[in-house]
Amino acid sequence: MAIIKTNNLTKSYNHKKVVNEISLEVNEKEIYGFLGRNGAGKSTFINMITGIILPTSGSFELLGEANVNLVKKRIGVLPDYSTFYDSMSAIDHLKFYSNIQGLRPSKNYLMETLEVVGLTGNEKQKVGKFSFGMKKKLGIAQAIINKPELLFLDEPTSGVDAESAIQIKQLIKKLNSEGRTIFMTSHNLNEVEEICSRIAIMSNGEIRSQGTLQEIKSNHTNSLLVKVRVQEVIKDHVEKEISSFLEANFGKFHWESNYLTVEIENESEIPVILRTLMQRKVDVFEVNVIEPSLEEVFLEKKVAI
Amino acid sequence: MWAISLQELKGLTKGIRSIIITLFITGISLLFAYLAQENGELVGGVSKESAYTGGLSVGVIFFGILFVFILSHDAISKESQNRTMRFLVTKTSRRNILLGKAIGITLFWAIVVLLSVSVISLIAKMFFIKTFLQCIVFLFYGIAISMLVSTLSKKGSQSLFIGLLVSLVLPVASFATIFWDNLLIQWIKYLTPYYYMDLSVGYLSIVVVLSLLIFGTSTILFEKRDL
Repeated sequence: MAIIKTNNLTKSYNHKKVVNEISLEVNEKEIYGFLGRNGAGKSTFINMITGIILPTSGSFELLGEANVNLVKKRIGVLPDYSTFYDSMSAIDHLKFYSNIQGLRPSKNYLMETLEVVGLTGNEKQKVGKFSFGMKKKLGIAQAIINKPELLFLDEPTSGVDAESAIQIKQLIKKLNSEGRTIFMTSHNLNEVEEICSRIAIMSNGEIRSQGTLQEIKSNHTNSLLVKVRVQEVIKDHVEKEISSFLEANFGKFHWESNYLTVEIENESEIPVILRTLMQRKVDVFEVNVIEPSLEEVFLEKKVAI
Repeated sequence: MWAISLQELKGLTKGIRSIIITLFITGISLLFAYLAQENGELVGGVSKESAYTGGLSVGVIFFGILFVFILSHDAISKESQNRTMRFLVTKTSRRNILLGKAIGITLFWAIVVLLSVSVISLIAKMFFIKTFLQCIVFLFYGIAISMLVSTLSKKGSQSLFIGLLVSLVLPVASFATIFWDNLLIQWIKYLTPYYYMDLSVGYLSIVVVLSLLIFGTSTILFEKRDL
């Protein structure tokens, strides 16, 4: 079932399309990552489907409802560029946001939520004195306070220290394992690669590519690298024979110390390489298949992050 | 919605401006009531209620809208400017946010007026329900205008400037209708609350309807705005 469904969703400012006719579907229990550089239109898209800004044209549905007001109790949102009330404490914020939705959480539950995001001990501190990272954590806490079915996280780890970023990523995975669908944006390739089950690459308000990590990679590059560790010493004529065969059949390869690296089109070519080595009595100790990283896909598509 | 109302009410009661304004309105009410009590012979010609509640009425009618703007011009604009609105709008509907704010502000003014009327009542030994209703309805109109200005403004400074302008223009334009018979000016009095304050209590319902129409306009505009 599609938890998020958008149809030609567009946002224009002064006749310039910041988000251009985006249609996508996010399925239940997915972690869907929106990847793109700053200004690509990621936040504008998330702001439209969470009711912060209004679409210029197109439509969307969240949890099967076209009216976002009807599902606000079932979603959680961490918007980008948002602030808290400086004079209120962290726990007062969570209480206030819960009360707005008609919830009456116990103090224990509020404390547990703060603990989940790593803000234990800061519950009574005024948010005005919080660091950027702490505010980001509180932002996540307010987004999950209502135990949402669908969670929107706009740049959840940007601007936070490495340790906090790891904690946040672990939390996102945990929330997803509990059955929540997560839609997140990021300009961090590694982060998206690490936690998202499906990805859309966005540039200039348009989706350039979307699918699973595998699909995106295979759409943009056909090559895999096979790195084989062989015996220390190979006779010269044997090495020449192998090189000639590889040159004739694969094209790109190189020897480095006792490693042979060959660029292949698909996995079915791996046994051919191994047979070639074994037929010439070359011992094989290790075989690694290296897929292109998302970063390499980006470089190939020239979608700079 | 009620959480937002409570938050707004709490915010209003904490500020120094609120305390000064409350003291001013209560003080002027107390002064007039005291003078009416001490100079009974001067009361002749005017009703007992008017004599005792004169201070409160003057305070509210001349300064009410100005005071409402001073305290609440940024109820929406400040939240939009600071982007605290972004969290609110993901939790509840924009209509609920506006309604919650309006209820909170109205409750605050109801408390201020009730305090003043109670002080007067203690001196006069009677409760002036008509004055209480008139003041509340008049201020309700001011709150509606204030919400409209706050919704239309993108910054707190902008809503303050427009608010101060409106709170000066509204009474001047309304009182101008007393002196000019020009039809182009006369219709203004029907759209502002001043004219209805002198009429019977039933006419206050027109002010309530006008205020609700202004609230409705604010809601429509707020729902069409990017935050």
